Amino acid sequence: MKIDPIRKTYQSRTVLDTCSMEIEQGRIYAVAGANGSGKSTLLRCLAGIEKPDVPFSVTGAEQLSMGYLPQSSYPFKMSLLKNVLVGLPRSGENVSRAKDLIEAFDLGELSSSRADRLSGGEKQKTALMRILMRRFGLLLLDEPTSAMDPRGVLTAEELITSHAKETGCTVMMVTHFMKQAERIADEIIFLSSGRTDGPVELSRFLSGQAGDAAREYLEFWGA
Amino acid sequence: MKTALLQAIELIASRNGQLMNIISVTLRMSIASSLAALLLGVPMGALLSRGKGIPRKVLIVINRTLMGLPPVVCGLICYILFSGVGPLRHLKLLFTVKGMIIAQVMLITPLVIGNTETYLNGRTDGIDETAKGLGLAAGRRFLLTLNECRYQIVSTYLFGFSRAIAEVGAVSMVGGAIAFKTNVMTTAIMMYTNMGNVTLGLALGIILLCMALVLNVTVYILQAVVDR
Repeated sequence: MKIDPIRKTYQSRTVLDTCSMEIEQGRIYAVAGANGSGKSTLLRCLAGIEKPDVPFSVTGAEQLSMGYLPQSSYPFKMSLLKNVLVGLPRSGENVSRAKDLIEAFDLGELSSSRADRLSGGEKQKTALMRILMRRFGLLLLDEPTSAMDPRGVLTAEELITSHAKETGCTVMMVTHFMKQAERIADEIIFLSSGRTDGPVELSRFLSGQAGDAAREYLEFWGA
Repeated sequence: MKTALLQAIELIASRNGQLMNIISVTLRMSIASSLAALLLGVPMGALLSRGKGIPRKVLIVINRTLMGLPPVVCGLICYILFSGVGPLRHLKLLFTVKGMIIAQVMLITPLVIGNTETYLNGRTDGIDETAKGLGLAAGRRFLLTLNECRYQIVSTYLFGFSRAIAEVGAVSMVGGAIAFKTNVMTTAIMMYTNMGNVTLGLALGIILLCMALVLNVTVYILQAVVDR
């Protein structure tokens, strides 16, 4: 599919100005860049949360449904299990899938606890499970593992990868960690001051062949 | 004070017909008006909190002005509307409990709107964004938001009820404090005090406070159960 250029300006400051991007269905894209480089804005514009300066379209995919997990996802004031199932029919299949996800994160004992009273990492796991319960054409994840412990991070990555494989959805995931990008992503969309050249192969990016800004970013990671 | 307290206990124990009628009318009027104000005010407050730009600011200023509407002015407006020369005279609402409820709704609804708007402003963004990200429809998102704010909604209801039960200016103008018909606790307190029976007025005041206390304790327990 092809995503038209997206431009977003806040009070005369351009925070996002992307070129047209070719996205391949079923692949996982890491979205990286320094703070304020426009990663979250890109995802928010794609999800329809933020209004870009000019309307854009995504072509090449019929009726593309988009799921979006915000950076600080809201835990509803209900049990963990109910949070994971929120808005879904309580069918046996859904309940069983929700319980499997909860068990994968080793949170079975907490499934009847109020999600808004869990720890930061547990809340983030709940939010991730909630979105993985659904099928989308494009799944947008904004730093979905930033508050998780290392074991939780690996479980989350496994779940995201298997979800993408099972449903055939495309994933765009914001991350600050190159190791995580290496583990999970096929390609990387690197943003610098709101601009990007579009997705590049991870190996090309990591070998410093994706421009000066990307090289500078990688140097920091090497330090 | 002691005499008033004893008289309040005696009055309740005697199940005095007039007192029972006053309590019944007071509760009927306060519960109905605060519920109606809640049903009107919460959705309006929620919509206002989601609004943007100058229209929102204008509506907030108008609502804040209405929040300060003096009860006697509200009573006067209703009196003019419902009186024999008013445009709503055919409804025959003057000196009726229904008329008193309408006056109370006019007074309390802006307060409910203001409370809801202040609480939801900024708080709903996270809820809405998360729900939108999950692909939930607008109606579902709205219900989810209300569910998330249930504690605040109950508090807002209590606030409205407290205003309704304690109000005297508008209800005395619209209701006329007619015995066995539109006399409520506050108008009765005023009436007996004006007649020189301060002790009875104080006794009624104690009963009024006890009614508010019982309701608040009940709702507090309910909230604690719901919030578990």
